[in-house]
Amino acid sequence: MATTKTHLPTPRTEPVTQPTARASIIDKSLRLLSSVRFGIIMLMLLLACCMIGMIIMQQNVEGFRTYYARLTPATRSLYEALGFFNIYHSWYFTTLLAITGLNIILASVDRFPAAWAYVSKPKRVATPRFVAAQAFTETASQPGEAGTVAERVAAAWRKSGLRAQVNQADGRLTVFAERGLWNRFGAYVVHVALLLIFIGGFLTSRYGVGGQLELVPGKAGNSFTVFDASAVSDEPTKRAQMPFTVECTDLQQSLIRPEGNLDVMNTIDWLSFVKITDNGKETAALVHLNAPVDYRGYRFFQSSFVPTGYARQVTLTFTPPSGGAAREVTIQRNGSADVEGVGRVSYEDFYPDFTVESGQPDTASGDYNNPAVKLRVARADGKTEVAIAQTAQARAASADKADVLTAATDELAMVAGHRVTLKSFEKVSQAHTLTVQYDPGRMPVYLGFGLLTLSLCMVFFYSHQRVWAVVEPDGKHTQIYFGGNTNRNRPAFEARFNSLVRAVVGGNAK
Amino acid sequence: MSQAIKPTTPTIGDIELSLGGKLAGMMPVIAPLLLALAFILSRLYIGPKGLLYEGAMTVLALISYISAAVILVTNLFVRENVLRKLGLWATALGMAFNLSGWMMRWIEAGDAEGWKAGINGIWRYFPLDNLYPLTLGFCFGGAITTLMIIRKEKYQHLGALSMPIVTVILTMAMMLGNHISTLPPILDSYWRPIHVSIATIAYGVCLVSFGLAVAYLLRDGVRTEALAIVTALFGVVGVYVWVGHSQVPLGMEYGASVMMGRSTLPVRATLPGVGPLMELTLITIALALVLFAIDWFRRDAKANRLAWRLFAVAAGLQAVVLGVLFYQLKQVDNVVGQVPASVLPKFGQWLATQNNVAIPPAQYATVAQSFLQERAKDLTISAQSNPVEMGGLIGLFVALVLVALFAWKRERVISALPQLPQIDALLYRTVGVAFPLLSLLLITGAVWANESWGRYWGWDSKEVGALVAWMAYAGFLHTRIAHGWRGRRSAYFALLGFALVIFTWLGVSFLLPGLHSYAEPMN
Repeated sequence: MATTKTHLPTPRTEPVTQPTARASIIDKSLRLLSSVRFGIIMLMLLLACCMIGMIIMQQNVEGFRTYYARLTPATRSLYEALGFFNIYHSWYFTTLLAITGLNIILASVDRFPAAWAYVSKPKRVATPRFVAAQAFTETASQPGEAGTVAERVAAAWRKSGLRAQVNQADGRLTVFAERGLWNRFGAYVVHVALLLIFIGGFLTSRYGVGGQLELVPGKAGNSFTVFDASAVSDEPTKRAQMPFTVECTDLQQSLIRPEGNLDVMNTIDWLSFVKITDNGKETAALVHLNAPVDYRGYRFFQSSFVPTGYARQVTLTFTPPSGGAAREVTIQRNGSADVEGVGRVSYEDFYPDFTVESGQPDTASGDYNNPAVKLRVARADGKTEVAIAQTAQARAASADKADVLTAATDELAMVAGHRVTLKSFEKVSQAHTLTVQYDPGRMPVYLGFGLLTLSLCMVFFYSHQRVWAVVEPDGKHTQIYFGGNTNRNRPAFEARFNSLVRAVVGGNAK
Repeated sequence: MSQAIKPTTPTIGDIELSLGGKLAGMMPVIAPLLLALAFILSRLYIGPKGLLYEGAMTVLALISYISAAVILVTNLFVRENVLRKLGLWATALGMAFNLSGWMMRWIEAGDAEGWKAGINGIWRYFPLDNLYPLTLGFCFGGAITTLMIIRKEKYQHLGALSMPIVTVILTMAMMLGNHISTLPPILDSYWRPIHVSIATIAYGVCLVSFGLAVAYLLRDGVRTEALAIVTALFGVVGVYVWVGHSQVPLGMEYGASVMMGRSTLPVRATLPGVGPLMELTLITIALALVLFAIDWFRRDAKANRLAWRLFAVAAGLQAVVLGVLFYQLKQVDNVVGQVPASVLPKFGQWLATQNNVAIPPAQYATVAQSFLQERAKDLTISAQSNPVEMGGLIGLFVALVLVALFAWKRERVISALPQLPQIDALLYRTVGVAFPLLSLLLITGAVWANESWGRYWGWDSKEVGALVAWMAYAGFLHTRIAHGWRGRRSAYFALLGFALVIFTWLGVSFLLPGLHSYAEPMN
């Protein structure tokens, strides 16, 4: 069983950073900025700022105005003066982040040469005294000459998966092996990953653009409304141009209960079908919830919807006046279809709660209380008619009413001598809103995330292990001094060290 | 082993390298996982029969966890092998029920909505839709981490410091209510199970690291008076000053929030007798705190003795408070009659704001009174009215009892705990697991936010809470790896980290606004 020198891993101490009398102010500042203590202080200050930002409501959070109104004038003045209402964008928070970033860079630069020297110049030749100073040690006596024994140690360790080398100096042989060397650089990779995330965040805030784009089928545009993140108000302020045109071709809303309304809690998904035209080249794309579309660095996310009911497609029946067989046709939003004996029927508009305002068809609300569709019919004789089709239920409900609206809709339901009825329709909202994001910092941030994950696994789940076996002649026998250390996970290394010793000495020790 | 190899006592202990030995050692973890799988498959194929419900399984888990906590704490003092085994297997059984209940909620959510083909199929119903299933997962994370540690005989007593916390958290989960609500569409993303599952396990590991930090401090000779002072401060500042809208210290009154359906109204119904009892408990704890402070600075033996007596009395009083509180919650049937007239104007104003109508301030009380009278039969109070307050009150009781017990048999407790280096090494290992998990939590949250909202970081309070907890654990590891800090200083970092985790898990959801409002309970 291995001898352990200490109960706890030997701590790595910081390099001596005592400034000499002649050290310049720059040297002193750099030493301070690169020290771990300073980094921890920065971390704690950032932590304190974050806590303040959590406890005091930030101005971009919904309900801020009510919260603000509840505060006393003195509290408001104090918080405003200290920048607490927008602490994460305050100059001192940005400065703290910048100094922490600088600390990470300087600490890495300061310590890297020593770490590199440790890695690049391993102690391949050791002494029994050096081995005795390691965290785990053993001694054993083996028959045979030192050279043979050393080769036997190296062979046994190679069999255990280590790259063992036999080195000679001062008449003494040392077998040296190590694994997980790259683990020593894990902390530096963590720092690089954090810096990449910081850089990405900076690129996003400095060069990124975000806004909203409203989609209505049949409409196209090459600009979107930009939100000014720094403003207290979330009102749109300006528009940003895109180097291509986005046209909405169709909208769809997948409902949990189709008979229900368009509210959020009855919706599984919103689907926005778009056509992107870029220098004459057309690309079709589908944006839906949690499935954004990327195009030339621009990302389109499903964001919200206009909760006024509309119909994605309508199914109509045209009944001849003689009472013969009714003709049924389904027309897409903004689409048209030929109906025999009637003409070309175009779907012009939809009213979820049909009414007439100032002589024009209109909707009383956004709910499907009295759905009706406005149609334009181009008859075979070249004349054009406008028709309003309601559902049979709506018509039956108003049948006994003798008001102007009923008379008007009754008349409007007749087209080319046919009575048109809205048989069914697929519910959809009037318009969808997409969030548009142009974010040059995304790739560095994602790269940083990936690197951070890998490096953390590297740091905590693997270790750098080194083992030595100093082989010295001892009369007819050969004395072996085993030693090993690791930078973390001592229990696993202890087991490995014991197995490496066993692989050499087995049951034949002196 | 060669005789030439010197026999020594290993730091961490013998490590069994054979696969069979490893599997046998893992049985307390594997067996409950298999049992849970059997329960879940039974629920899937047999349907909701017998105890195959989420609610029933969670109650069984709570019973098992309470038993495990009591047995493991008793074993600190009694040291019987049978108790050790009972504590271990009660924890394992509780974990099996806990996991079964948590996963059965998946089936129940799908059945409730008819397994709609959503954006992400069955992942739409993955049981991490609000704070209740998240808390079930949190308890599972805590229990499985505890099992991983206490399955080794030499660490058996460490479960006495983590299982009581798991028990309190699961009790609080029961008060959150297990109603299944329709998932907001924006959360129907495959990132949700990934991101929130990581949170459950990470929080569980942090919980155990907290228990280990307390064990380290006890073993390291931290005075039990320090624990008593922290507990008393928690009782005074963390619980009694703010429960019931601070009515306990100010008005000797305590009321439960009135519920209409599953919604909580901003008005409370007074529970007769509870307020004065709470006031008495508060005064007792505060007096104990003052005496402990006198003893701390002057080393006054008389003050010390009196402080401990008051501390024990406070534990007893807290038990009475809980008993009377739950009794009155059941007894009060005229909820409207228990609403004090003094709160009506404010409630009337709230009603006016909610309904967007202008009411003269003089009529606020009348409007509020009519509102309550008209809906009297729909208004209720229950343990679900104020789950965080109930959790705080129960947590305080458990903390008072445990600290009093530790102080009573201090030497006995200390001798039961592993050696300092062993606890320190375990603490480092748990934080070494928690930190990458918390990092992944932040990363997956940021990626999810970017894929759903178009930004990875919005300084939302939950995001910042997770970041702050991450920073505390980063501080733990950084000071240890780069600066050699370990032992007691590391333990303080672990305590801070878990306090921040609790704040992020509960405080942010209940106290602070933000995008993570989905994490709130149904009300």
